[in-house]
Amino acid sequence: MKNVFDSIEGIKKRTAIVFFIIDQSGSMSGKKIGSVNHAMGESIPEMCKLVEDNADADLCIAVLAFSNGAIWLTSQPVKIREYHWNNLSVMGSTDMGCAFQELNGKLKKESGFMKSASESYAPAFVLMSDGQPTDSYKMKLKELQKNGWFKYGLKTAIAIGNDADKKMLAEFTGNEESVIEVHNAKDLARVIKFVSVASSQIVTSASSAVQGAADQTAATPIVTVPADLLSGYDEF
Amino acid sequence: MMSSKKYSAFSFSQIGASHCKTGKECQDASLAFHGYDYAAAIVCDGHGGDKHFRSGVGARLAVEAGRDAIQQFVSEKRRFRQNISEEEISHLGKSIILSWRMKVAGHICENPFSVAEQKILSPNIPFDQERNGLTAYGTTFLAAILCREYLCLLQLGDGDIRVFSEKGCIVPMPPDNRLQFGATTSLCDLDAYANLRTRAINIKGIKGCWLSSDGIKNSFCDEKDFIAFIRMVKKEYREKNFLVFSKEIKDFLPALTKRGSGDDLSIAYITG
Repeated sequence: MKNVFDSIEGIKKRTAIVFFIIDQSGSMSGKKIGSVNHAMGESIPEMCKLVEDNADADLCIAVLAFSNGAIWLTSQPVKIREYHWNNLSVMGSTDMGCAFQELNGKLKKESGFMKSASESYAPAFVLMSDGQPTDSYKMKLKELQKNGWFKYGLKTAIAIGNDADKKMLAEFTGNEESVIEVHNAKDLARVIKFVSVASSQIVTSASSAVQGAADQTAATPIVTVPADLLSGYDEF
Repeated sequence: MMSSKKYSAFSFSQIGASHCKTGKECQDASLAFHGYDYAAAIVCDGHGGDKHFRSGVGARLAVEAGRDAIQQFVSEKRRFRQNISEEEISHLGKSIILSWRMKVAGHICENPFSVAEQKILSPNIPFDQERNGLTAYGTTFLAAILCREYLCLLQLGDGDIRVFSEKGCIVPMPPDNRLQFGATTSLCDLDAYANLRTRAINIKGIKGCWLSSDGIKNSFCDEKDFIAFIRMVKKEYREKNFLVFSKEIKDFLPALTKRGSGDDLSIAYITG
């Protein structure tokens, strides 16, 4: 017999977004940007597979690259199965403050990238950089940190090489545990793939609600990279 | 579900599609009950994150604590034929929070945390059972009671309450901006008393009250579709034999979590 509730309309999977914020300054040239391009190209199909196999949500990706200024490589968040990675080239300085300002501008429901995102679920942010910010970033990061989507989002930073400003990256993530250091091209590629897939897994999980809204200490999960994933030798 | 002459109530909980896949237990719990002069329902949604690894138990203990306190509350109101004040609802909420904490403490005594669990709850500072132990059991709490001249509502954390009156559907609780971006207030908050929201609404013109965990609303495109679903559930409940209605709902909820949020689902409704 037909179930009367089968005629219910408007059922949908929610949308989760993973933001990649990528340093494409001149110092990223050579193996660093090569690894980023290679790993991002390989991560997209794995993120697609994750969504097809398991996820409770549709997954979208948004990519912001920064050097002399910051530019969105996606004009809106793009469904992961419709996204193709285009290799980044490098040039210029490390205007990270500009990237934070640009990101903050898009983390809005009404006019930004969060129109399709479920209000109940926070996005993920993956920041990759190999150097020190060349612009004044502090005020712009402070503004970003006031944004609820950012505050409760899953934040991970990848510190590429010895010159990366790990202290600043920890300011971005909110804790040192979420800053992952890499010192060679192979580790960088492995970490990008691991973090991309793990972040996607967490933000598309139905059980991602966290307690702590009352005192604003809501502890989003942390992406923990297994120790045996990294060889650790110094190449950069 | 049971029905008396005037008051009736039902509740259903369904394990989420994602929890089925990962072999987790259902972290929602719900209960509806009524007597000749009242109806009540409770919906609790355990948080389910890494630190809330006993939140399924936490939700069930919250339902128990709510049921005991509400039954006592109704019994006192009946005995003394008193009206209900906002202050009393708040007091009822506080007694539920206290009772939940005692039940959790009892559960911890019988099931102490392993060293690994203590590390999850308190990774950077020494484990303090009183401070950190509640977190493992974190859950939201929604309750509605139709009693005497009032509909009494209690809410701690996310989830949805909708009141249906002759004038249409009302969202009775003021918006709480803290309940977004994946974060929620909780019974396990140390300041849970302060975060509890309560209301007492005069029953005149009220037809019923709906409660659901956030997995239900998150399965729909928008509020309009969510309300359309509630209206259909109410209609089927009103018009069909309860066993038929119950089977249809129980058959439908697994499909809803699969096509929708993937989360555990709980619904409850009281009318009188």
